[in-house]
Amino acid sequence: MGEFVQGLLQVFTWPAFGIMLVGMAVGFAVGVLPGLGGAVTLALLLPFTFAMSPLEAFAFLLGMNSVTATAGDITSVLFGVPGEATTAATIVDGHPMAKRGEAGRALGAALSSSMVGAIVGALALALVIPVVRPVVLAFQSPEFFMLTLLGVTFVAALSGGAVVKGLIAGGFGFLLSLIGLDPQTGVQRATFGRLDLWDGVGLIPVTIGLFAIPELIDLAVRGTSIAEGPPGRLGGVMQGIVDTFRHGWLTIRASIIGTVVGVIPGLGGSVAQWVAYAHAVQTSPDRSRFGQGAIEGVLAPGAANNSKEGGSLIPTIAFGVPGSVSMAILLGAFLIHGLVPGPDMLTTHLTLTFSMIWIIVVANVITVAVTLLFLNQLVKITYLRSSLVIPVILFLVFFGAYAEQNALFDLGLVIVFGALGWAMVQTNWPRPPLILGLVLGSLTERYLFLSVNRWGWEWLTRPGVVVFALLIIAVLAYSIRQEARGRAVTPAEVGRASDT
Amino acid sequence: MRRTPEIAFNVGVVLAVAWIIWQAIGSGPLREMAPGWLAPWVPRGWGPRSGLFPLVISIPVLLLALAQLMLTSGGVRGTGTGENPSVRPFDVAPAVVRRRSAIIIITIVGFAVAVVLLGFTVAIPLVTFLYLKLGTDEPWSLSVGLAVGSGVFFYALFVRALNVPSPPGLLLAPLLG
Repeated sequence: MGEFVQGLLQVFTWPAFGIMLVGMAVGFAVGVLPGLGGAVTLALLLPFTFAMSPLEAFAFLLGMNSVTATAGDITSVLFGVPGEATTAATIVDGHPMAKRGEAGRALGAALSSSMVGAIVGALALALVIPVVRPVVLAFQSPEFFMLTLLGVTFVAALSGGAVVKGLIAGGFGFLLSLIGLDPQTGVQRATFGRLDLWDGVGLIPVTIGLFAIPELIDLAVRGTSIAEGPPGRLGGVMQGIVDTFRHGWLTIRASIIGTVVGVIPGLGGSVAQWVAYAHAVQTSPDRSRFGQGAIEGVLAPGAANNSKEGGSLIPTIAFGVPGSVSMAILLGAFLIHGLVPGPDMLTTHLTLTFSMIWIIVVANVITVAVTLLFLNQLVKITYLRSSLVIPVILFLVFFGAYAEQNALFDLGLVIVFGALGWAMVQTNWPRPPLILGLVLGSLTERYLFLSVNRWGWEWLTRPGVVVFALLIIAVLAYSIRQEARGRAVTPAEVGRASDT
Repeated sequence: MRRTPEIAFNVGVVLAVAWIIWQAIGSGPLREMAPGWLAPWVPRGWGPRSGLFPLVISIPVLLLALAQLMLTSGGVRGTGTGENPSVRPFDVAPAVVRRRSAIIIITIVGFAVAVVLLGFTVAIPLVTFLYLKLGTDEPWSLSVGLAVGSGVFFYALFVRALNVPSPPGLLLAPLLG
């Protein structure tokens, strides 16, 4: 209990609180601007945290990340363009509300349900810690090795119906982590004789290249102003807030759905919103209102988007298995700041863990309060032409990559991995498993090394290892079955669609 | 025909993973036989300790990549886009897509080259101006204003206030001593 309260007090210490406010301002801009994702921005801002203490770094990064989904709802409602991939479901009913002059009500509902969602997700994280702790402490290197494999399998298998490609990308990420000097033996691996590669390829240039460059190209090619139409009349914001509490039980249920989806690595935010939306439709007595501007259709995804952040932090902190791309990058921040996810985060660094939970809550409460006050002015940012935004992003891309190690060589890496990321997008290969493989690669290798050294190949017969192996097989079997079923159904659906 | 890029990408993945396996296992006899100039390119192998993890990962990945290559060549596609369901097609003419793609790619690569040659302090305003004026035909006042503003912002915040090391670039370094 002491750590719980201390965690809250630490959030309000200076300069951590000020840094969190800066992070929130950046997160807000990123959330409102379509084309800039929360994960990309996390990668861009990661280098700026090097000089900070762990608390300040997470106040900055989590403060930023936890408000992007909240802010993304604004663009979704006003313009029918998702500010974030995770806020697409809010469009379905939020934008029709805006078109019929209820933009304020829709935004009031989206923002207040986001706040409820964030609080529920953070509470779930706080409640789960005592339960998870003994489990984590019982694990040894073979179990952790299998867990990392399970994490990559989850992300690979559940990211967009391309199971085999996802697994290959995850494995490729593992192989990328080999580049450099082997920490165990000092052998050079895949360095091409270059001194610049002795320390391996940095997470920042790889992530920026893979994610930011393709988005930059996409934004430049579209060439439109970011928002494509004028917003509807604002007003009725209070009514939207009242709606959140009038449908309080639905908001809580959607928040719980978001948390559970967030806990499962690989499912991520874009799934959470749709599951919550589907739940709202299924449990409504009048389903015909959905898609026409039903307030429940705004509340459910709004709540789920934010509660999933707390949920996805659970496996990240407890097991070092990130629940989403953002969490994979955040995991990189853990390692940069000398924190190893797992038992340490639940014992030695428990206060910091609770501070992270509080950051999510405090950042969302402040964001919603400020947004409600300045809603009219803030939406104007979406009218910026892409040509004016691109030079700023370009600067962040290259300076962010350079600042990690002050190495110009990393600019080349950005271009190489930018080309790879662009090719992956064009050929429908998933990128998140690759990043996850790269992030987890050195840990996975160490766990394998320790397991083989201590137990020989006997470790393969440990009960925990067998359970994880069966889980991996089950995940793969389920995903392959789903993909095969989808492939069988798709032509029929296409035929049906073309008939109508 | 549309599958050609996918097959090419898949072949690239197979070759990259096969190369890792070759590097990990090594090729002692081949190294002995190779002429002197070629010998450094023939891998020694990483040994059982450093080679264990690469082989544990790369052998199954190679098999999966070959399986995927067969699926792609056979015309089997996944049911999804691989990651992002919100990818939208471009609503501009193909010629415009090509022109804008060329401009942004040149800008990206040009920015990196400019930083190496001239340093961040000069590259940021220069590339910002060139992109705004020549790339997107923004007005002179806006292009110059944003270019100068971005340069001043970078210099004031990162160089002066935060003391981030910013090398002057290969061309300017001799001039600045």
